[in-house]
Amino acid sequence: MEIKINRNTFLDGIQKTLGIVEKKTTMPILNNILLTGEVGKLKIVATDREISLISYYDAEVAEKGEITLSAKKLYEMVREIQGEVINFTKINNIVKISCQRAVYKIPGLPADDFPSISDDSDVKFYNISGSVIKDLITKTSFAMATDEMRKNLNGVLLEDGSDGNNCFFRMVATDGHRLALAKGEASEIFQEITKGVIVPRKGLMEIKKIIDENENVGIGMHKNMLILRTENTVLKVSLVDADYPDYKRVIPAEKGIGVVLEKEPFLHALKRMNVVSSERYSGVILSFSTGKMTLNSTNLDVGEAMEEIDIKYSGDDLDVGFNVNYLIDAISVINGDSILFEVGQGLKPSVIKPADNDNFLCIIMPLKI
Amino acid sequence: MPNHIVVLSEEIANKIAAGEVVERPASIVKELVENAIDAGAGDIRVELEKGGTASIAVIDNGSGIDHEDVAFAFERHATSKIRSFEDIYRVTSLGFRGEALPSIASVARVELLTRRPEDLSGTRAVVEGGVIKEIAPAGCSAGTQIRVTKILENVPARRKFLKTESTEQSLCLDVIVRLALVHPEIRFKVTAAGREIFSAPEAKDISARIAFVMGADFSDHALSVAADQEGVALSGFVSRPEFTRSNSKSIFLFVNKRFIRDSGVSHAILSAYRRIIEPRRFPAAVLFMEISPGDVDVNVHPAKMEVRFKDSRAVHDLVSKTVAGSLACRETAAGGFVYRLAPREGQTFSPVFRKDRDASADFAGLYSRRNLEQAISQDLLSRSQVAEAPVTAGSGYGDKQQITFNNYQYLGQFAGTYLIFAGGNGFMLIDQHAAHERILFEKLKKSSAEKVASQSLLLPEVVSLSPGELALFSGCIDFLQEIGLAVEIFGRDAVVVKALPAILPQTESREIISDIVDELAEQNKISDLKERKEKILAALACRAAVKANHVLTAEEVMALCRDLAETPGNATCPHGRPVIVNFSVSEIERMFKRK
Ligand SMILES: Nc1ncnc2c1ncn2[C@@H]1O[C@H](COP(=O)(O)OP(=O)(O)O)[C@@H](O)[C@H]1O
Ligand SMILES: [Mg+2]
Repeated sequence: MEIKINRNTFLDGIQKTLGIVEKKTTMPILNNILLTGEVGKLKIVATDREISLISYYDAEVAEKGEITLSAKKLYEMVREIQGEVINFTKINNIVKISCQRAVYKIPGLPADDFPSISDDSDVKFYNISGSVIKDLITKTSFAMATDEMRKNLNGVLLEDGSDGNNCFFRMVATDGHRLALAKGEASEIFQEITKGVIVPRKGLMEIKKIIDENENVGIGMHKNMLILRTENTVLKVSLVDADYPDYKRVIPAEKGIGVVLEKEPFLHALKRMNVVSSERYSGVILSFSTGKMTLNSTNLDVGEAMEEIDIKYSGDDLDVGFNVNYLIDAISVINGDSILFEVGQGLKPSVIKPADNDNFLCIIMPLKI
Repeated sequence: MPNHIVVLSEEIANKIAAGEVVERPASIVKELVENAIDAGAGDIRVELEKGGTASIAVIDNGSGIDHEDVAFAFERHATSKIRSFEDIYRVTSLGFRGEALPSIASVARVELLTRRPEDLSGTRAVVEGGVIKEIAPAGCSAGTQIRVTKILENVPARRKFLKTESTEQSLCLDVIVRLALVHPEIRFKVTAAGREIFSAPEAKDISARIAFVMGADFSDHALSVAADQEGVALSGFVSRPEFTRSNSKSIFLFVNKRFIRDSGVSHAILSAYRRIIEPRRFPAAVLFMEISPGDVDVNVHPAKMEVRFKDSRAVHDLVSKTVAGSLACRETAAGGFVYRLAPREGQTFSPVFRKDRDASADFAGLYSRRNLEQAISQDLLSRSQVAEAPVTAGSGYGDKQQITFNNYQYLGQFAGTYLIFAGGNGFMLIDQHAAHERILFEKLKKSSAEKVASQSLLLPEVVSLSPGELALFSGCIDFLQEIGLAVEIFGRDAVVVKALPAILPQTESREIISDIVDELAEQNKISDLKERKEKILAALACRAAVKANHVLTAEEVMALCRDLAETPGNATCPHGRPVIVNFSVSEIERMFKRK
């Protein structure tokens, strides 16, 4: 195996795999990436068996071949190398990497031991824009559960939500405290996911990292995997085999008291309420009365924080408490200038959404104080 | 008067033996249920009053006892199960010492009703304080019913050491659960004060029973284990690495269908998980070993929880290797990937486990003796550290220094765990976890006295518990409500969490509940209500506090210091470990031999 490749291209390629290769594993080969020299291309494969990334880079391949190397060590080594072009040769299972006068050697494991990635030649791909996927992820991922034990909530629900008129994807995330739901435009009905699939956290984060805003992406299903394909890259994510809670049941049937608020002033006021305390959470009480909303911090021992915002409100006086961070998370991802806050009474959930469309909503449970 | 050697009366000898066999209600339950199993019962009912401290009844539909033999059954070393010493090595029944009934009868009142299915009439016997009060023919259903009352009343020294009723009850349940795990063919039903607290229907096989008894959480996260080597057949289930508990109580070991405790085997299991689960967390496991009775000595302790293996090293290695193998396989089985295992030239074994100089260090750690020894010593070290730390929740006020930050400057965080402050007289290290634990503990205490912010859940979370755990739990629901943790009992083996204390925002309901249950299981009668509550709060604080190896921003450190300075008792954490270590200038100068 003998290859010449641009150093920066190579470094970028290896870096993309670092998030995927396993850190805690009893199978050392999973710390490695598979490098294959093909005609005019270097193919790099990384997998932790749940997520696989296959990418192709331009290279001069003098002799074809394949080898696996530790992703981390290779990355550290290439990062240290100065110069434009790297020569990469394999003799037995030792790889020699040279550039100008520097020569490094690194032992590898034979490619045969590397898990093979299942074939996807007969998969139907649907087109979606990279920006839509990224937007869906941004708008929901904050609400995922962090607990790895709750497999179904430690990821997002992705489903085809197309109705008679429009085709769209729906993404839902919840940690049991709040729930975020976003819609994104699609070109046709994604048949395979009309019942919804659960994309695990790690896979979702890799998708977000690897997909570019300006790319067109092909998305498809193969067995229990979601496959995303761009020009030079294929990303395969094993889906979570579990039931997602029936999120529709959680969406309040009866609307709360609707208040339209300007996004930025509200967000800033909330951030000022979010005093750093050792409890690592701040509570805020929102009091609505005619023409104004008052924000009051519940962390009284940190000093009183109080703020008033003028709003259009003419209903009865109303007090409701929230974890400030939940409000900030939800409001931050809204694109427009104004938001619609449907305030639940008693201990009912509240809903936050853009004032002018229904592409996003976040349901938040109140604090009982 | 000279001391003459005398032969102890039978009554006294029984009472002494009872000390070994009958330590607490759970020991009685164990002996009686084992007898019922030995008698071939298909249905066993246990009725407990006051956690088994007032009365225990065990009702079976087994073989019953012949009228002629009833008196004999209460005699020491009377057993129908072995005839000669050699038989001990062949025993397959649970009992064989013929000690249980006489021992129990010497420290309690035992009322026995029994009839063999083939007999027309049965027998009623009453034995109290070792003395047979009555034996007479009586009508009853086929099988044996034994009711034990006045438990340990004539041994006040022992009765005093009993723990709370709920703890004793959960210990009784533990015993029954262990037996139920290995006897899927038998129906079990347990009631406490007339209420059903555990019931296991007949199961089609042992895995069905395990799934039923261990609950959905475990069976969803279980990997099967199997090996058969050098006369030892190993089978069962271990939890996936993401399912962990805060103690080793969910590790169940059985040798030839007897529940045992064996530190060697436990260690073997833990060593397979080392490096893949966090330190101080434990897996759950149900492991069965079948060993030819000649290779294992079950006669080590009368309570029969300990065994001695002829070749304990081999057993250790087999367990650790097999469990490690299952954990490794989990990885190959995941996802839709096919693993290539085609043997290549010059290689005879599967390359998955091939030794590679450094890359395989992780895996080698599970196998090599040297690593294992190191692991053992590390383990012992960590144990001794845990053992040293006195559990003195809430104590330490006033008698220790109070930390203040006047004239101290924050220099930075060391090892992601210790905050370094410099002042005129030297410098101090603060353990961020211990400090935060104390702050949260005091806040929780305050909130249980005042009103409290509670985060309602959008999706209430169902947490499954074992029947024993549920029994412990039901006693503290009101108190948990006071601190903002709204929990309701949900069926027979779960609770549902509806709201969490707002000051524990990042914690999972499941973890909180399992910590509380672990804490409750430790508690005994001696601790008063206040102390018990404080220990629960300490467990919650520990769970919610920032962990070691967690980078804190300067603002977070400031917030922590501000709160710590205002917290009473801030020099120790709620478990009594120090929050602060001081290095005075003079000490440092001495180290550098400047003075
Ligand atoms: N539930 C029961 N059904 C039938 N026989 C029983 C039962 N309980 C006890 N026995 C008889 O009483 C004897 C003594 O019991 P025990 O003192 O527990 O000794 P061991 O179980 O060690 O033989 C047993 O060997 C058995 O014959
Ligand atoms: Mg017995």
